[in-house]
Amino acid sequence: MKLWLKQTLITLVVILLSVSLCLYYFVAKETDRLIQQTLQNGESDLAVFCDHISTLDRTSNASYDADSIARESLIQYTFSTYAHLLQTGDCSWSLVMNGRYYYNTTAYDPLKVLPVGSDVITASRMIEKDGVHLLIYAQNVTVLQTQVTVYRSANIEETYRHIDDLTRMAQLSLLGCLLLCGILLPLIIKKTLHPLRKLTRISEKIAGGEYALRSDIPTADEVGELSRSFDHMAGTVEQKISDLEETARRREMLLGALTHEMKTPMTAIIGFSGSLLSMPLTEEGRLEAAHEIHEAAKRTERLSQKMMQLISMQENPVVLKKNLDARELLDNVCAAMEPAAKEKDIAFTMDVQIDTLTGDTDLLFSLLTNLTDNAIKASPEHTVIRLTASREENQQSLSVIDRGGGIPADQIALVTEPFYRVDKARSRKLGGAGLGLSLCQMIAQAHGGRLDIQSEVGKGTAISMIWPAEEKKDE
Amino acid sequence: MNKKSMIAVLLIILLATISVLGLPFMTHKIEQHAETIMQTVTATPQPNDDYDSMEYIETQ
Repeated sequence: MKLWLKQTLITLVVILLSVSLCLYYFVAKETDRLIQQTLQNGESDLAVFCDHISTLDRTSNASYDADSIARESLIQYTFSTYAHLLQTGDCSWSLVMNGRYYYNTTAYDPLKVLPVGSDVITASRMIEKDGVHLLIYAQNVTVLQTQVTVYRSANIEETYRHIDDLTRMAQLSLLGCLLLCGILLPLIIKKTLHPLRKLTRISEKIAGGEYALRSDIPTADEVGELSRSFDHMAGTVEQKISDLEETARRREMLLGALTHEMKTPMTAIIGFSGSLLSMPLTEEGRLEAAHEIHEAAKRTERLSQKMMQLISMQENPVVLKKNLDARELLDNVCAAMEPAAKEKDIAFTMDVQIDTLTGDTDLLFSLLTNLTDNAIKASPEHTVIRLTASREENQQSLSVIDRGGGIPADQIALVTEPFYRVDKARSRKLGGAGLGLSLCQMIAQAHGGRLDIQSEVGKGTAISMIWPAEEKKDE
Repeated sequence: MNKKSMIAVLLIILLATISVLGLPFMTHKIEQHAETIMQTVTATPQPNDDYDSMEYIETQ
């Protein structure tokens, strides 16, 4: 069942019950009041009439000793006079003495309809005769030592008509109210629920891939709040999906680049090993082929090591920060890179402005060796590579500065992408895989810092890792 | 509109019909009640009641 229909039906039931309850209460009260008023009118009229008859006892000159015929005649005369005066279209009177009518203007026999014994003071009855409602009152009165029964018959059809009119009016009111509500409620509720329908349409479109859509319902009510929450959720989902797509794209690129990088040494290995197996080579030729296979295998190993490091950093960037001796770290790096530097007669200089650094020893060592390796590859022979450790305010930094060919300004932002090389042919020849700076950036990010690259073509490059300084208490 | 909605709408129409037609029924019941409670007031004379010696006295 649709929500608008459900709400309409529930509201209709509530309105129906409430209005019915009020109308039933009102009609019942009014009906009861009209009936009671009619009864009271009849009773008081009869009492007044009987009072008038009773005055005969005080006003008549007839002696109690007069014969009964004279008394009855006097009573009959007095009664008929009053009855004639009070006779109306709706009301008629009857007088009964000794079981006989002395006056009766009713169209029926009151003695049969309402027989009254001598011990009865008043009696009343409501009857329906020929489709007309009648209210009959009887009262025994003793006048001039004679007990008489006075009947008052009143047509109370007017009261019943009033009650019928009232009932009809209440029925029409109830019907009108229900019809009005039945027409207006669906329109009002549909209008109220319109934003929800919009929200549903938007969510369906978002589910269909239109992630940039927003509901933008500006109302301040609950639906507006829902819309804002929905839009916030849609924004988060869009961001997450964008991140996931970017990650997938990067992985795809990484996989493609890795495959390409693996292909080069593999081609060399397959080619030279094929020559060894199938061609009659001289001793010198065999040595050369074996050397090429060895070099290709070493490149493959370096590549896989870097990839392992990279994947490890991506999946589990755990940093064991501790205080370490800055000079000792730089000394170790220089010592490790010394053989490679000697090949090009490159010297290292150190500028250590601080005693201790805070960070992961292994990761910082890896970062510096990668940067230094890159610097050696980029630097011409007989030059100097400078390694520095410094601190400014709350930031500490490690830098490697060379006097190599530099990086063009438009490529500085790309050099941290995996497998990106500024000079592809030269880099591959020197055994680079284009993963070093990617790894360095990850190490910097894992420390909560960043990699700063300053470079000028023909002058050199300065790459620094800058990260927050924090004192660690050594255990 | 599905079957459930149809049943709900029909139930409400039935309820409304009962409410509308119940009004005359209720007034009829009140009238009947008024007719049945018509009272008869009786007074049983006591053996020592002396009606002849009673006097009409006007009070201020």
